[in-house]
Order: sequence, then structure tokens, then C-alpha cells
Amino acid sequence: MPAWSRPHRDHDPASGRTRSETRFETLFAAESRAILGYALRRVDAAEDAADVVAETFLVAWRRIDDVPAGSDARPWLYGVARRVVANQVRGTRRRTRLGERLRDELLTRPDVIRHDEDDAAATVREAMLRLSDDDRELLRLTSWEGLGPAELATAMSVPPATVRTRLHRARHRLRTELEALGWAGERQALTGHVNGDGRLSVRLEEGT
Amino acid sequence: MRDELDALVERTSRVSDADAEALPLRAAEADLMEEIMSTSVLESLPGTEPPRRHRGARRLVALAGAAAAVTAGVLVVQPGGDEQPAWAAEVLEVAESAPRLIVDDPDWRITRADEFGVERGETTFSDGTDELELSWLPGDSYDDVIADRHYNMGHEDSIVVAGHEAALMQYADSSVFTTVWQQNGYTMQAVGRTFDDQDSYEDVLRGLTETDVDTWLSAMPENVVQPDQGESVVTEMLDGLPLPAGFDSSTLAEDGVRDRYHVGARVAGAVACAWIAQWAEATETGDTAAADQAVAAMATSRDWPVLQELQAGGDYPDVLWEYADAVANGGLDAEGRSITAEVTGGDSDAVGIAYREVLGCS
Repeated sequence: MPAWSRPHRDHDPASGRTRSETRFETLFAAESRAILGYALRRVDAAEDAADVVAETFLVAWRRIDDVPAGSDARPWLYGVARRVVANQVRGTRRRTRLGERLRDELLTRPDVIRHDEDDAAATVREAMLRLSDDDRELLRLTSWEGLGPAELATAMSVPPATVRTRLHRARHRLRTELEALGWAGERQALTGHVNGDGRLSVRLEEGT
Repeated sequence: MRDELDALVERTSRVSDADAEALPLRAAEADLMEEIMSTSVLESLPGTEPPRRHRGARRLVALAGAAAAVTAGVLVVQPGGDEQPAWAAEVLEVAESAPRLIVDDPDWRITRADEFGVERGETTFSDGTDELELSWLPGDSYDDVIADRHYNMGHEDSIVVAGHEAALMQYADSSVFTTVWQQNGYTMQAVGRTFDDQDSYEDVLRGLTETDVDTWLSAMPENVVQPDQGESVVTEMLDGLPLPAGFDSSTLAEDGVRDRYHVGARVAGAVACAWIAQWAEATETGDTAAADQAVAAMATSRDWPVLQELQAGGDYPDVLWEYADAVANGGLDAEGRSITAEVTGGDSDAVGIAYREVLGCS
């Protein structure tokens, strides 16, 4: 029987909530803004972020027994949100009845997502768009969400060692694209050392 | 681990955490939470499955170094001087599954191999001037890859690659070409970023030829440490490194053939792991002298010759030095996390202790 179909019988008479409900409430309170931030950074219209939040936490509710405890919960939720956003991008978005009020609230705040960016940011954005979806998301999860390698592994659903290799490659490709776009303003920064790669970097030519 | 590149990417973020936090949405969020909790738990949403369980994640992590080294064309020489190479089982499994493409041109060879797995992998071909990145991805990712590549695209052509119809795309105002096709149940992608024009890129694509297992694996880069060189190379690499009491180097040269980068990472990592283990145990038991000795030993790591050699080939030294700094910092890394904390794998599975996973301690 899948974990999410287990009946929630562990009722706590003191709080009137089941243990699962209490856990979900705690999770929602702690992480909903992080997921909202994640969603707002990845959608074009603010109100669409409501669907991402609603669907992500709907999955968390149904899989509450599988949600990792403590600080591991957030990258797990990012992993779900990433799939929700991917569904939206693919045009198969399922708008649920959930989160209508949140959607309406966000609809009144179209200025939450800034679309006016300076030339430098536009160049970096263009370079990012030339990367694969996985590369792009790795860089964003690192920079925007501030995830470390172990958390990236959870969010991207790959082993920790693998994520380091992918991140290293993604950074290399971003540098290449930035240089191809004539990036010159911060060349020194781009040629600085890059942290975050592990022992799996297979650089055969240079390695000997 | 934030660095300059992270800061650049940060500039493309259109919403800050503070922006999101400041939104007056508490009531709407409370409604949403109650709505969700009132739904049945019996329905799942297609396409939003949480991170998959990686059964055997610990083993995968433990084997990761070997698996990556295998990408360098690791072979095990048959005992008795048999000329015929016997490929390691992990290599064979990949080679028998993935499309085995090489560029059928003597000027072009494989210069790099990354993430060499059955599900996905990547090789880089080069003639010394231009480079072609060839990757194999899960077959069901084809539509997503095609859709993703359409961002900011200049134009699209069709081309036949290794007998398969492929979509060739070029980004607007750039010389970046991407070609995507389906082959043997995989999604294949060939990216060229260095070519002068589409014709020269297409010439290389047309040279891609599917080959047999031995030919393909033999085409992998050759700068590997052969089994009979293993012990002497390890001895050489240990030179200049402080070794903790009881350090055993006898197993460092085992497991067949590796490229020097991986032998070096294994050697330096084993020494660092031993010192950090001593530090962790000494800290736990209150043995200040042993803890201080480990901190002092790790503090010399920036002078370890083997790490200086490895710097040109990858970032393992940088990672190891971060852990040397963490040991000196009471066991907290740059992000303030304990290096002895337990970490999780692809989902909530605990896979081990942070420093051991990151450094690849055996």
C-alpha cells in the first residue's frame, strides 16, 4: 500500500489534529514562503506561482510520511516544485481549485516579479537560456535558492557525487556562453576559481 | 560555496526571498493549507512525483569515483598476458546499452568522458581546435529537450546523424549549435560551441558513427595509470603528505586502472579522510592533542604536491581545502554546516557523513 493511502488514524485528542495534519501544518508554516519564492522566480506571471505552491504542497500532503524531517524537507519540496513548474512549461498545467484565493491575491501584485533588469543581468540570463534545462536549474538552485551539493542532490533526485559533476559542467558551460556573448565587464570574476566540484570531475587531458 | 559565478546568476533572479516574505498573503496561505488538508490522500498528480528513491544510493556514492574513473576507459588486463582487454563490468554495462558513437576521422578523438552511466553520459570529442559535446539522456526526455532548445533559437534544420533523423538548432546571434535525435531508446544531443559555421559543425556530425563495444571503449582517453604502475604512482603521490599513525596505503593502488587525476584524488582523499576521522574522534573524546595534530596536518594540505598537480584537472583540491578550513573552524563548513552531519541522497535516504561523502572516503 503506498504511503500516501495509509489512513491517518493517529489522532491526537488534545489538538484535534492527527499527527500527519500537525506535521503538515508545521511544514507548510515553515516552507510555504520558500516555495512561493521559488515559484515566483520561475514563472512569468505572479499568479501562476499560486498553482505551483498549491500543487507542491498537495503532493507533500499526500506524501507527508515521505517528506524528510528538518532541513532536508526544503530541498525535497524544491524537487516537487521543479516538476510542477516543468509541467506548467510543457503546457499541461492543471489548474486546481486549490489556492484560488492565493492566486487572486497574487493577481493584484503583478509587479512582484521584476522584468526590468540591467544589461549585465540580461546577458547572464541569455547565456543561461542557452544551457540545458538541468544545467540551468542546477545553477539557479545553487545561486537563487542557495542549496549545497547534498541539497541539490535531493532537489534534482540524483546521487550527491553526480550532482557535483553536473554542477561543474554547468558552470563551465555558462562561462563559455558568457564569453561567447562578449562578456567583458567582469572577466576577472569569470576566470576565478570555481568551488563546488568534487572528485568526479574527469578532466583527462589536463589531469596528467 | 558561493563564488563569483553564483553572484552573476543571482543577478538574473527577478524576485528575492525578502520580496516573497514581505507579501501580505498569510490569510490566503492559511486558506490554501486548510484546502489541501481537506483533500483526499488517495489521488496523485501526474508528473509531480517527488524525488525518486535511489535504492543503493550509498553504494552508488561509494562507487562513484570508480565509475567515473571507468569513464577514462578503465580496463583490467587479463592475467597471463592476454592481449585482449577485459572491460570492467560497469563499463561493459554502459557500452552494451548506450549508443556507441565515435567521430570517424583520425583527427578527432575523445578527450573527456563524464558521468558515464547507463541512463546518461557524456563524451567530448576534439580535433585540438574544435570540440563536440555528445551526451546520451533518457529516451523520454526527448520532447523536453527539444522544447527547451527552442528558447532564443535562431533557426532549425534537419540532418541525418548516424542514420537517424535529427533536429539541428542554432541560437540567435551565436555560433552555438545543438542537434537532438533519438537513438536506441536514448535522447542524443550534440552541442558545438566552437565551430566557425554550420558547415564545419555538420561535417563533424556526419562523421559520427556507431561502433562496437571494444572499439568504442578503446577510443576512450588513454592517459590512465596501468595496474603495474599503481603502487609506484601511489608512493610518488604520497610524497610530501603527513600521514596519520597507522595509515594504510596498501589498498590505494587496487581496482585496476585509473587516470592520474582519480588516483591522485583517491590518495589525497584517503589521507585527508584519515586526518578528519582522527579529528572527529578526538573532538568527541576530548583528546585535544590528537585533534590539534589533525588540524595542523590538514593545514598543510595546500602544500601537498599531489593536490597541486590535480588543480589543473578539476576542483577536488579546492573541495579538500574547504574541508581543511572547516576542520580549523571547529568542523563547520563555509555555510556553517557540520562536516560530520549525516547527509541524504536522492531522496530522504541517509547516505552517510557529509565529509566522507564529499571527499569520497572509503
